[in-house]
Amino acid sequence: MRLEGARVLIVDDEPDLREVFSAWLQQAGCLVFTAANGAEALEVLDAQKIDALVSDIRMPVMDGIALVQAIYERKLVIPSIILVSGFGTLWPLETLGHGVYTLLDKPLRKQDLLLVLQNSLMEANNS
Amino acid sequence: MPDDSSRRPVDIALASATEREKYLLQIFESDYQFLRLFDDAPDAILQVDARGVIVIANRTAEQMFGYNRTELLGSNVDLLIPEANRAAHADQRDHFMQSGAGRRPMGKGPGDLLARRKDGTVFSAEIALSRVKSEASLYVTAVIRDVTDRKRMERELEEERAQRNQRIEVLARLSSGLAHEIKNPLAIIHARASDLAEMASEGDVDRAQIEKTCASIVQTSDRAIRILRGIAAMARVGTHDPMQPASMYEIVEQAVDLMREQYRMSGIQLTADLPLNLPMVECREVEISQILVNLLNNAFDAVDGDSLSERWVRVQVSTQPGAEHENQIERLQIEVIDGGPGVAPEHKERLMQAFFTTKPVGAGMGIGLSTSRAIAEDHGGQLEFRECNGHTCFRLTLPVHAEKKEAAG
Repeated sequence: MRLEGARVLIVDDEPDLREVFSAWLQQAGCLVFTAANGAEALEVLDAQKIDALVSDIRMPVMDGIALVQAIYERKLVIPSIILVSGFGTLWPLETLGHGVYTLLDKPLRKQDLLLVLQNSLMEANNS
Repeated sequence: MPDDSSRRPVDIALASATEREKYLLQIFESDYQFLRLFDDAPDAILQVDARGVIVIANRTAEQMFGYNRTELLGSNVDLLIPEANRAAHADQRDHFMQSGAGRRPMGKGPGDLLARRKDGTVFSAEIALSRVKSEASLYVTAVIRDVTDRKRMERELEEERAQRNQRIEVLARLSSGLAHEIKNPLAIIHARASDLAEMASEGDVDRAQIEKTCASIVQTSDRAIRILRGIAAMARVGTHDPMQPASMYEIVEQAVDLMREQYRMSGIQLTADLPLNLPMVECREVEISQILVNLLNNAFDAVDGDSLSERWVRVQVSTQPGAEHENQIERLQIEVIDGGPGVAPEHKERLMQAFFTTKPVGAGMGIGLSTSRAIAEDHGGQLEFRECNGHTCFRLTLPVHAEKKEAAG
């Protein structure tokens, strides 16, 4: 499994989801970091080398859109998977190139998350 | 038979006694019918002369104003006008007499006129005026309609409309985060359930883990259900629901859950101090939910709209023994306190009035508090504005058993 040893940051304000996603990725061999919002995520990014990011879009303090923007402005290249709540989600298109690998709809299946994460890491390594 | 209307008096005087009698009876009959029509008209009809002296009044006028006809006839029409309006009325009457106007409604707008009964009480009236000219002088006929009931119905309609607008506003706010609010719990449930399935298929069954996972599923589903219930409560009109015993614990928890997402997104702390053993309260659940959501919405705006605010809102629920004058019925008290800078002294008095708002145009109609108070009073309770260490506090009190109106006194 290519996820073995990957350093992944999970950002979600919902503690239960952080717990579930962490468990999934740890089982797949990832080294998992968590943050409850974009601001906390930036602190983790300052302190740790992160290979990929899984982030909720709607969070207090700093949301997923602002986080992606801040990462881009720091000139970090981290493939990001953004979790959205389907309809009503307006992602600012101009930031789609800013490291966003894809948007995933909630609820999501474990195998989908792992597959997408794996692909995003592969693409990042090849580029 | 000859046409009586073409007969001159002299013809009748010359006719036979039987014919004369028949003719007079006919005249009486038609006069009598006219009198009935005049007396039984649904509106009061008065005629006054140029000085304002009443010369004709129908029976409806007697009933409407409480005077009998002997009192009305010969009196000045001022009798029927509240003292404060009499001087202005005399001027307007002179003006109308001199103007060429034939017939017009009185007053500036519909229902802005007041009339006075014999017992001194005042009612809203609609009055149509017309000028009648006889050989010698001018008269004014006034047709007066008591619009008290209609005004009350209009007011009730207006209140219902305001309540509906308020709910639509809350729903509009909530709907932006709704997908997220429902999909988050679903994502948790979905993930937990797939974990259980995986655990089972791998034969790797950990009882403690299953218990914990299932508890999380149940808790999370409950949360989603409360949010949906809260939204349903906002979308409904509860005015005609029957009063039923309801769990105030659940109502408060539901309202708080409904607003939690909005608060969380703005980084405002929302806490509820909810004792477990609260009594059931006889109420219209939907209406009480609406009051709470309205108060939580106002508190949110108070904190979010002011940079000097401390970013918290607290809900405190407690039971209070009833006072002597409240028949010692136990009361449930719900306080919503916000970390905002409090209400400016000049606004305190008008706070509960319909349509009073300090919010910018488009940011809420300010219709919530007066309507909420009306609902609370309808439940035999109260909604009061108080202060708590300089912070705004709205206190809703409800009797645990709604007082039966017919049993009161």
